[in-house]
Amino acid sequence: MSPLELYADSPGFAVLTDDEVGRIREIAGRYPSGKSAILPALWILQHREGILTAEGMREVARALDMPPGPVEAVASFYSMFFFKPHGKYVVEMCTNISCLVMGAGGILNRLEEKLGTRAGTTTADGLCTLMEVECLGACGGAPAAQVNHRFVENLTAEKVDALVDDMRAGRLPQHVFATGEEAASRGTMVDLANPGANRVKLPAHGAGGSVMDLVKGSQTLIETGSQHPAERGYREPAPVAAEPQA
Amino acid sequence: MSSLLEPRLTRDIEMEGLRTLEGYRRWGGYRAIARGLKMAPGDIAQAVTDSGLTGRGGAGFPTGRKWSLMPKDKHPRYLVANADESEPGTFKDRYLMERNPHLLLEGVLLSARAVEADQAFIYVRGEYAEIQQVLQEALDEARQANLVGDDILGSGWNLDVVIHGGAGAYICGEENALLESLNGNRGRPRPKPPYFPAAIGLYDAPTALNNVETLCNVPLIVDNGADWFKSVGTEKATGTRLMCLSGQVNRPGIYEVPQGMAAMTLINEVAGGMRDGKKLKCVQPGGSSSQFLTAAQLEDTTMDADSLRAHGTMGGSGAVVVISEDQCMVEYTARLADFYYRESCGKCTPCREGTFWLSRIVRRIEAGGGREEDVELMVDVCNNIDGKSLCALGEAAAWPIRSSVQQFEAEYRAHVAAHGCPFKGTAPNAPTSIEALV
Repeated sequence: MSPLELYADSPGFAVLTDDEVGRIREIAGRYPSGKSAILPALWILQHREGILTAEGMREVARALDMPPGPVEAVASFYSMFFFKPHGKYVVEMCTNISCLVMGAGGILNRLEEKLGTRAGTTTADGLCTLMEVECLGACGGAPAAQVNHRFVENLTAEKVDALVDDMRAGRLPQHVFATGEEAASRGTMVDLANPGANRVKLPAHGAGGSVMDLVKGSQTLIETGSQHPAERGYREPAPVAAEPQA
Repeated sequence: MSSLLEPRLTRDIEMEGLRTLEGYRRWGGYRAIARGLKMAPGDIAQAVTDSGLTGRGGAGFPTGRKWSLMPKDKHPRYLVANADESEPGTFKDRYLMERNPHLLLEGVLLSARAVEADQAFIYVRGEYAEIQQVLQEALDEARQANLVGDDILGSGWNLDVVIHGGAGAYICGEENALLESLNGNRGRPRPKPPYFPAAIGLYDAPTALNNVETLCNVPLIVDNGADWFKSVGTEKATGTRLMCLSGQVNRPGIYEVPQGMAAMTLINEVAGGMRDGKKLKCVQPGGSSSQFLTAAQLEDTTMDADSLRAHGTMGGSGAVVVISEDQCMVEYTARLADFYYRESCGKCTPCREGTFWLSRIVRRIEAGGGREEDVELMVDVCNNIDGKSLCALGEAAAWPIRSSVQQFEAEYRAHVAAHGCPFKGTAPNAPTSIEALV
């Protein structure tokens, strides 16, 4: 059975638009192997939805004609993908060596104070998520950060204050991120700390149907002439006596 | 400043319109590709070999030799530009791509021709979203001008270039991890042997993988010749290097200097000396993975591979992080250890476990819960990563951390004795139990 039969009973695309599916397939065509388009496709998904949901990743897999596993595996490896809703602005503050030496710790504290939230969390009004990240490649302008993927460098306490004020007043030139709240409300959030909890559910008749169908399949195999395991000398193990209840 | 005479890669880099095709042509661009198209591929590779150009990404392997390791006549084969610049302290490739994206494209074209690649990829780290856009615009322009695509400039030679964005992973700067990532897998390294990219690389085909700065040098070599390239630098370390000066200096930034410049000249003259008259304690001369050089060692160090190796360190990615006397080395090393712990991909045990324990031990020393034997323990953990990890990430963690412990042992001992960081005035800060800190 081809893994693609997993999708046999799925109607159209619900998360990705036709345009996005087209773009993903066009990108896949640029590479000798369509698998290489997983990363660009996940970016397309996250750009619009804000986060990667289980359904979204499954549709990426379908657009690329592959099973969902590799797509989830790739998505969970990289640090820039979001699986939980975040603020409209994401401030990624570098605290790595060059920034550390130039006082990034103080700047991070200032950001925490001014935003009223700790690094790794989102402000109560959902405006901004503050994150501590690794080197951004802005060491000459340390301490540095990125706000929605745009560099802000040579940070000082005054610059931090102005940045947060501008953010609150909606005056930042950066484009605003989709927070993922909407996607989370209609889709399934993936919990990376507990990967088993939110697996993509197989369609009712996916994977060759139900477990019983698979058993039936093996019976068909036997009936059509192949040797039954028992006839190859296989013996059922003797039933283990149940432990007497204390 | 005489030491900065004649920049090459960064010549007129702030020129208006350099990012556009028209501006780049005015700068002298795409002359080399016109010449290169008339040359046999082997001649381009020979010119690069003759120039003595070495990899500028970190390992410093001779570029011509790297290319010559690809099996002849085996197709398909690929060229990949490593623009996953994630080594802490390094920002030169970003600077080049941001301001002169066509130079990288021309370098990719010429190098792809030299190795007879069927397709080329530029793997740009995810954090460089803006730079990806700059490159994409340049690529679109080049494609329209028939510099990329089919029948380039009527020569009958075809090359397609694809810009591929990463999504945040330091490990993807490692060659095999990058190729895995580009392949559409988790970005984890593969064992060498057998996975030497030159033989079994992208899509298991022969692959040339070069750093951005390395590739940017290729058009200049083709245009001006190998002898011109060798006219600066030392006999063994030819040409110029982009040095990324960061930390406690007056003028941090990118400086293109001849290889073999004296370290103190670089710090005092090029980067304007120490900030606020602070005293120099040490530098990391080649990014976060390189061993520390103390102020005393720096006096007779020059910034070329041989001299740096003689001092027990390396030129790495050309990132010089300058650290002043008032910086606590335990705090600094703790941040380094955290970084390697977070970025270890977890595939091999020495690196996964080693970076985890290094981070915990150094954090507890910094917080005041260190034990006397922790200092030796850190060196022991480093020794058990070094040479035993699957890729260079493990060693990149072990080298600077071991160097920090050995060169600044007194600071570690002071933390242990004072139960806290003497630099922050937190000592004495004896914790109730060590467990509370880990």
